[in-house]
Amino acid sequence: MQNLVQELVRIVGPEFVTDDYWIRWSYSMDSSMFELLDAKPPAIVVRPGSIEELQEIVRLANKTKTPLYVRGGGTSCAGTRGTRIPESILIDMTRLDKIVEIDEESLTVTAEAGITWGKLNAELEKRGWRLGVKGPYSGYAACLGGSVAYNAVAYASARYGLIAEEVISLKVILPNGDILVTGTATNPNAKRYYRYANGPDLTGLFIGSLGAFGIIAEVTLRMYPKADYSAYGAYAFKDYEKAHKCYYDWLKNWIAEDVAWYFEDGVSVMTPELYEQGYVSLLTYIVEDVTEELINARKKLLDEIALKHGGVPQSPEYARQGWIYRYELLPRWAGKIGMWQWTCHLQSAGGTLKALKTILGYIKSRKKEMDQKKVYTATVSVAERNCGHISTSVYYDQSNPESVKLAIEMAKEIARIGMESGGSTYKPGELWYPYTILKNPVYRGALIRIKKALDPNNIMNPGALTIPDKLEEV
Amino acid sequence: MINLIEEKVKQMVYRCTRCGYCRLMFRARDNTERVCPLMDTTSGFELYTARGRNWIARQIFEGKLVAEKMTQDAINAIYACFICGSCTEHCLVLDPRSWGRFPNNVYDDHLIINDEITRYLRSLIIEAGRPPSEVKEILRNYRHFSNPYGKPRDERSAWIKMLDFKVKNIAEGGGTTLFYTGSIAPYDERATKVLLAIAKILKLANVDYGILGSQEIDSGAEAYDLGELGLFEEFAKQNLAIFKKHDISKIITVSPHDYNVFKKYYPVFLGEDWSKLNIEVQHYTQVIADAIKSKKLQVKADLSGKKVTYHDPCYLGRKNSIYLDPRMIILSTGANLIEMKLSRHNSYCCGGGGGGKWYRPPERTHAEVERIKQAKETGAEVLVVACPICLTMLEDGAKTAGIDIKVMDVAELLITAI
Repeated sequence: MQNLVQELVRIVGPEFVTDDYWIRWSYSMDSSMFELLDAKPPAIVVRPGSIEELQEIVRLANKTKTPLYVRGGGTSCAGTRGTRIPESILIDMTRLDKIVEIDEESLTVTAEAGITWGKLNAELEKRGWRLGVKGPYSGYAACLGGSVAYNAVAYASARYGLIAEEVISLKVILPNGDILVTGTATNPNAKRYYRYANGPDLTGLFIGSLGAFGIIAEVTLRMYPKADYSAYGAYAFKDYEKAHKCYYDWLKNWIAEDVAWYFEDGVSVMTPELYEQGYVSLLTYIVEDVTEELINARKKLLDEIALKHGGVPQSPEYARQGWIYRYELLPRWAGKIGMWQWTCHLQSAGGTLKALKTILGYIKSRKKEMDQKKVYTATVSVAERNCGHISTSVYYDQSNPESVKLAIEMAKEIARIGMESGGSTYKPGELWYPYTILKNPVYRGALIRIKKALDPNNIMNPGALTIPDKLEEV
Repeated sequence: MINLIEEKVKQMVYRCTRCGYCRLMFRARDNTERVCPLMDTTSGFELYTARGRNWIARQIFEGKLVAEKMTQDAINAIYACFICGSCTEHCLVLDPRSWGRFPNNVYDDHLIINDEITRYLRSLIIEAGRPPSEVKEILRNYRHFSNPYGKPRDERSAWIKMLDFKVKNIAEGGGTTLFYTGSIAPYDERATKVLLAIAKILKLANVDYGILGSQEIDSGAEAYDLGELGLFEEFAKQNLAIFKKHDISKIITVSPHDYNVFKKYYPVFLGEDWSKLNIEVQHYTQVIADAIKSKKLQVKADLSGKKVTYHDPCYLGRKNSIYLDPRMIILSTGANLIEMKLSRHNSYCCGGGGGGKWYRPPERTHAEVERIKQAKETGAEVLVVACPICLTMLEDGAKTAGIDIKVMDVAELLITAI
């Protein structure tokens, strides 16, 4: 590996390459429990400062057949790193954090993959613009490229869908070092203003790919005028069916930025004051828009739907706090009840209730053991345009191996139940493979063939998407 | 003592969600845009930031890494930290009892105090006898001379000879309010001018105080930050005895670092022995602000039109929420105070905290230069500080950067308006 270090020093300078054992170890984690179980440091960490440097690194890795792992904010919680090969290079993307262009002509913003969502949102806001999706639930320190590569959900997904749906174009470094630009900019004379253009949608190939087919270097997203008006609502229900009808109708009318449904265990943990009053569901909505009239009209309809289905109005603060402070309220739970593992997946809007009940039934069956081992759950459904979404956060005590063990077991089981109930994961990762890609040989076969074509040396996140380390054997 | 810290640190590292807000945070609502100064001034590898250090500490607890085998690069990275507390300030894991205060939480509402984790890792390096040579040298000076410069203790009170009035000595019956000069200001020519200014102001405000002169010893603040917990403990115990002997009822500190250690760490490590003394601890900016408020100190306020900006010292502002008193003093002079974008809880470190004044790892650039640039951006002609370390660091920063801005202590500014 020493030769590689020297080559990398030539590319990025000595300051931004390290093979120091302890510094490498500090890169052996992300936010998932999977890295706790199998933390392994890469051999080298490198921090490129330009797309050209990134391109050269990829070329070098391809030439030497050295596995590459790419890391943005390091906040993934899905177990997205493939086989943890020690003789590998980890690319820390966080120096690639510039906004390339705020293109008012095209109504798009293009930024380097290592920019944090916090910076991207703040910079746009300063210039009078806003994003549709605000960023993944990993928080504002998560990076743009990573969220796209693992197809994350976001605040405002009820209105705009997953982050993927707001992506207009990608600039990708392919495994051989070539640079691919997707969407309208496939025409070298055109700007990046629409995704579906000039042929098949190659953008989609890289969304949710976990970097297995190339490294996302730049992302272009839609942007909208800054919204100065917002409104919030919260309704509690003692009856699951009525809550579900309200949830379904809110989705159907597609008028809220964000819709969340806190299910029984979520209500008991997050809002115990409501649980004590016998409520088993809390529904919240958030709307934002450019005029007060639009906001009022949307709010009126959402409130009417909730009241029609028997929702009991609650303080809008339940919705507002989460929205204005974005992700800042989430990690606080670690201080109260422990670290969490998400089990987020999609469900059909109408099928959400059945799946939620099945999951809750499973959780109740483990209650005694959970109490003993300090494991808690909070199940929340966050809408994605026409889809429901279920996420049971399994909270656990990181310092207690028994607690960790039970949490992992439960997260896996909830994932299985979710998939068997007709759910589908959006962000791939270790938690989901046994119930998704590995269950579908045709889909997996297609992924492997694409991998062979694009990355014959299998340098890009080997093992991700269940693609075997040794391509020649498949 | 190490056991006490170890237990606390263990609880902290297992609460970390690894969300990365300690490293790369950007928040429009309060101008948070640069959290860790080491991200700007080093290679920015994960181990330079709180999340990486926390993870490494956890690996040590779990036996996956052995502290004695720590690499030199890792030692450098751990000693690169300024312990400025910005990472802690922006950590989202808050004590549930403080949730009602959100988003206006104070430093100690945080369940993960990253300062402690850094100090713990440093203490392991010290135990293994492997700190950087500059750190060793400084600690040796503290141990033998009770100051970082290795200068004789007798020189600690030399500054009073520059005054045209007499300063009482507490050891000779000079009252029970101690003006605690600390171990930087009396020995540093530039910072000594601040002592003189404060002494004059206190006299004008009729504050009855005395010094301990050569009997004053270091507070242990720097030793604690550098991970020399044994030395810190020795200083704490010796100070306890000295303060007890002289029946000290109040301490006025010059350095926010001393203020912080008397206020926060002596009560923890000395327990009841300390609390029984019932000593009131104040930073000099608090004493002066009180004197202005109660009209014991008359300010002519003839600095109108002077554009100044104020740098919040990390140990005074972020860690102890003293934001208003220094500003009140500045405003009392009539000066036009223009805030830097990164101020108050978002203040950017001067680069001198956590031993940064004495030790600069091979690859680290100058945080003080970054801060000077931020000050200059305001258009201010004077950068006002309230800490002798900040004063010397930022003055050096201005020289290094070739930026024309005057760096003054708040007491020096005030004395020109009295």
